[in-house]
Amino acid sequence: MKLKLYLTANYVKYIVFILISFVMVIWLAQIVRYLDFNQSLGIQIKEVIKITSFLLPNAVNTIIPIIILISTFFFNKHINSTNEVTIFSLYLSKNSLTNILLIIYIFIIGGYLINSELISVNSYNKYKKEEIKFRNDFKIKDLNNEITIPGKILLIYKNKDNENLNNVTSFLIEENIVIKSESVSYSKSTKELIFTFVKGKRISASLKEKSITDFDRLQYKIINTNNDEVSLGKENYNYFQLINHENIQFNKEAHRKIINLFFLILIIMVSNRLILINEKSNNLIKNYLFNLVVILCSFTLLSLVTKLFISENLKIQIFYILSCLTILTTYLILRKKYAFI
Amino acid sequence: MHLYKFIFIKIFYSIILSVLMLFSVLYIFSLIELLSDKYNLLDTIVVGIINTFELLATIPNIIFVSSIIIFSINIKKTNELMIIRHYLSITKFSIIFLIFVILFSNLDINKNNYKNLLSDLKKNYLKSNIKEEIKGKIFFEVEDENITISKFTNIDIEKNKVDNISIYNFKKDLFSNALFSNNNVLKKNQIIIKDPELITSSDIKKLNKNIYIKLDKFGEDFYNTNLSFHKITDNKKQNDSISLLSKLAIFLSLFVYVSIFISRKNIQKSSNNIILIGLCFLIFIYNFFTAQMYLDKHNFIFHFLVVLTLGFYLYKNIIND
Repeated sequence: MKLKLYLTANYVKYIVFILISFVMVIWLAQIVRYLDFNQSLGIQIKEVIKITSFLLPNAVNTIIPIIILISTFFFNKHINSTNEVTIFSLYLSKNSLTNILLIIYIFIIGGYLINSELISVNSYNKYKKEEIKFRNDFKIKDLNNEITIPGKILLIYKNKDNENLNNVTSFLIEENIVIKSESVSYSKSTKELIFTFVKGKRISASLKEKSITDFDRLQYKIINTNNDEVSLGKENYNYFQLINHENIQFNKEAHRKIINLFFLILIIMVSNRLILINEKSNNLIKNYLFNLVVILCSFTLLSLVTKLFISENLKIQIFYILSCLTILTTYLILRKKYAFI
Repeated sequence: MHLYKFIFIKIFYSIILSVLMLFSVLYIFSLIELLSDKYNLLDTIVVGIINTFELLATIPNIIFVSSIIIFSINIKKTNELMIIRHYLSITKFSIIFLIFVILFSNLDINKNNYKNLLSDLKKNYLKSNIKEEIKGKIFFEVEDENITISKFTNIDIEKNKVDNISIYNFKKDLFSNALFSNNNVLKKNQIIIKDPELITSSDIKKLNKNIYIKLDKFGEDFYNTNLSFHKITDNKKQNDSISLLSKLAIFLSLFVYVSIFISRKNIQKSSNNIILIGLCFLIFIYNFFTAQMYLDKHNFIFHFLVVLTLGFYLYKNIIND
């Protein structure tokens, strides 16, 4: 019993650890992506972390098949290098080993379904709301004595006291106008941003207007035109909502979900064989590599079939036949004769 | 010599393994993202692969950290780490890592360039960059109290023309003049502004001569379709020193990761890999956030302190070993 528990705990530990590592990498990549965005948008990092965290359950679903495969490689390498594989062969029958793995895999599939149908859908709904709110906010970058509002205004100032910017050179991008002023103050609301320029020159050198004007006080208003509304995508619905949706593309997404589940089952079946191979299977690493490449090719093929299906070049029946054929062929290719314990 | 070669090969394998793992996961992501795009089948695969490399180019330090983790776990399990550490001090060990640290520091420092390179490669492949017209470029040149603002609208590299050019000049913080022309020719490394209109504080008149602008000062930014606003400043001294500090921080942090995993503490059976990985994660987060930070005042001191913190931590690890 202890040995069974040890095997289960160790394998699950590998899966969880690798899953967490990859989720962290993906999260970080998303944060970096938003921060690049952020460089010109001026939002708080706390907000970015919160928004991107809502994308993680969806990411888990996407990567779980490949994570199981990679975890299997690592676990198998571990039990081979520590000779635990020999101990398992001495004390555990093939049937009891299969039973343990079956329980682990049933839990994985269960978790996958719960995540896919409940957690990631709810989380994506939250993401959509937050992302729209964030996109509609005024994006002001105030950094390094420069204020930028993309597509609207660029402003360079010498120094700042309280809310006043001193000795300011501003460029109104759309109007192609430069304003040189002694000071500028600005007030911000969700709908508009008002700049008040004090004492200076307004210069225009554009196709529309060539002029130079002195002023004591000049106001420039930027209206927030970002009023995007939440539009729900395929990720906002679970399988049953997708299949009953009036939009045909959403129905197709439901079919894609089924193929994704089949792909996960394929990975589980391949992992089930790989987990028990031992060093006698010459070139263990070569075997892992072969499996990984075939799985990636199979995934590419499945994606291409899905793409044809989405772009309305394939009928549902053909889509299922081709996808199942790809999965079956992959399994047959990977059903190599390894040396098992 | 055999020992050095052995370590070198092991590190190399760890890097390949780490890249392969990350590639597999990111490739799946890239392909899924492209499913709804209107590329044909071959383009989907090629663009998917380029996108994957683009994503990999943004995370070179993560590749390095995961390689070190794989390397350390791999040689620790077989007690090779203990044998190696018996013969090699942490300093000698670090020297073997030097080439990889330099390589990954370089990748991290220039990651934006590599990303742009891959992005251009993608555009070239899809043959879209030729059709693409650069809609607008704005350059702020700041030199002491002199400011020049240039706006170029619709730059067509294929047809060698720029639709409209507006240039505003300020000298000693006072308006000097402004230029406008809608008759401009792009020739080699310069723009010829034909018969521009000149606006001064007292007059607006047509200049009956051509004005030449050298494009060297704008560098590659002029041709880059991704960016629209650039500031060219003479305040290079401080920027250079901060950029040097950032590079140094990247370089030191990579050595810190190495020192954590090959320390004598890690040889012991009781040492927990999860704690070491957690420690690396903390250092990574510290580096990540400090690199993003910019302070209006004392920015140089802040970045200098970051480098000092990393330097002292590395020194502590070496001394304790």
